[in-house]
Amino acid sequence: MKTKLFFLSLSAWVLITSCQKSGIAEFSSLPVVESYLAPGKKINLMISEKIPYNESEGTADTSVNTLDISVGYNGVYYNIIPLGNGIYSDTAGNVSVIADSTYTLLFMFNGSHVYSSTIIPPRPVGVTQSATTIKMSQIDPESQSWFDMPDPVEITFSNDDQSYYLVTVVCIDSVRVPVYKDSIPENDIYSSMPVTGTQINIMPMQLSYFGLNRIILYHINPEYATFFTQQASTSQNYQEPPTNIENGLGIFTGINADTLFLNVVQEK
Amino acid sequence: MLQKKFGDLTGWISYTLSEAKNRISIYGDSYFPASQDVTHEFKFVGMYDFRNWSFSLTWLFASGRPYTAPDGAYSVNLINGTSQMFIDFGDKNSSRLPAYHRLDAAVNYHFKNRETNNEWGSLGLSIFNVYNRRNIWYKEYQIIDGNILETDKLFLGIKPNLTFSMKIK
Repeated sequence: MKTKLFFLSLSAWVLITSCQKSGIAEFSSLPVVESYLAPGKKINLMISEKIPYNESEGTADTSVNTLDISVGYNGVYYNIIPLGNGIYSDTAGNVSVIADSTYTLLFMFNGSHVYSSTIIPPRPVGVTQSATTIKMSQIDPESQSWFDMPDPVEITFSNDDQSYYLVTVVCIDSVRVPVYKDSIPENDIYSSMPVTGTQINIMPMQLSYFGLNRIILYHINPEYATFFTQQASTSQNYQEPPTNIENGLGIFTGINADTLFLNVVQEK
Repeated sequence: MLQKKFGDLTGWISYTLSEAKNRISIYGDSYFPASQDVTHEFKFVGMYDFRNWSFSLTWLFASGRPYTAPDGAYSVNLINGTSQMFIDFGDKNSSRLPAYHRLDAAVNYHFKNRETNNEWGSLGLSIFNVYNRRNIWYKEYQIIDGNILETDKLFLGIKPNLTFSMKIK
């Protein structure tokens, strides 16, 4: 009896351990679209491919350089010309990007229709800037110069529909003196998080360089705002990456902007 | 299930075969394994009493649970000039973690009143996960230098425990 029980258990063990499934997900090749439509600018797109997690997986049968891409506006589709390296451009300027207009993207990739649609937001209105010049000392992290900071620069604007806005700040001065002593900024451009209010504050310690800085206030769509959400990535709590591309990944979105300037003067 | 209740050696053995599936529209029209789907589950519990000593041995085995694995990564340039990388995941719960199994053992000495033979306390040593099996709880993914880094988060490894109990009344 004991012998039979032993061999029964052993057989069960062999049966159970021989039935384990593979832990590798099957790769699905999808195009990655990157396109920002802005009024007054030609339509440009960047198409790339997803990199497989498993190195032995192959890539798509369709090349990203030979796609037949069309952008639709007002019921008419216009071909976008491939320039190589996945870059496509409306070089002839056939499509005018106009605020409050809707544009669609359409092409075939690996036998699937890739589609997207976006609307061009209106230009920011009612834009004011609390200061065009600020004076501050160079920040030495080891000293107490933190307490002598000027007030934040307040960028205010009208936002009746509570849509998304963000700012970027970049130094355009030919002479670049870093705001932080003895350090080279990791990013030349400061970018705020998207907001649905009517004000964005630029803190002096968020600036990278003294001199003339260009502030761009962007009016963006919700599909772009989702890119700023941190992607949770565990097998228990994963999030699909944000995208507004059907049968694809990436972003096809309209943007509009207003430009301001801020002179950051170094106090000696 | 087989069970032995009488004698110095007692215990039970059980085996469960099961399947749990879900069909949720946001994941498509097909059924997929539920997160709690464990195909095979085998349990063995054995206990042996010898004078003031008691010994126990437990062995658990369960098929690996489903999980959703990444199938690739990509980057997108943002309007501020920076680049952000994203992980894209494969079909819902299409992969399986390795099987879960562990062995627990315990030995207890029971202190008894010599006259009444009533137990007044016990001292025990138990070991959880005797052979320190690396059972995976879940996986974590990060993008480091353009590569997806996968980290296994584990259940407890080998853990000894010493316990003493005493009856006050």
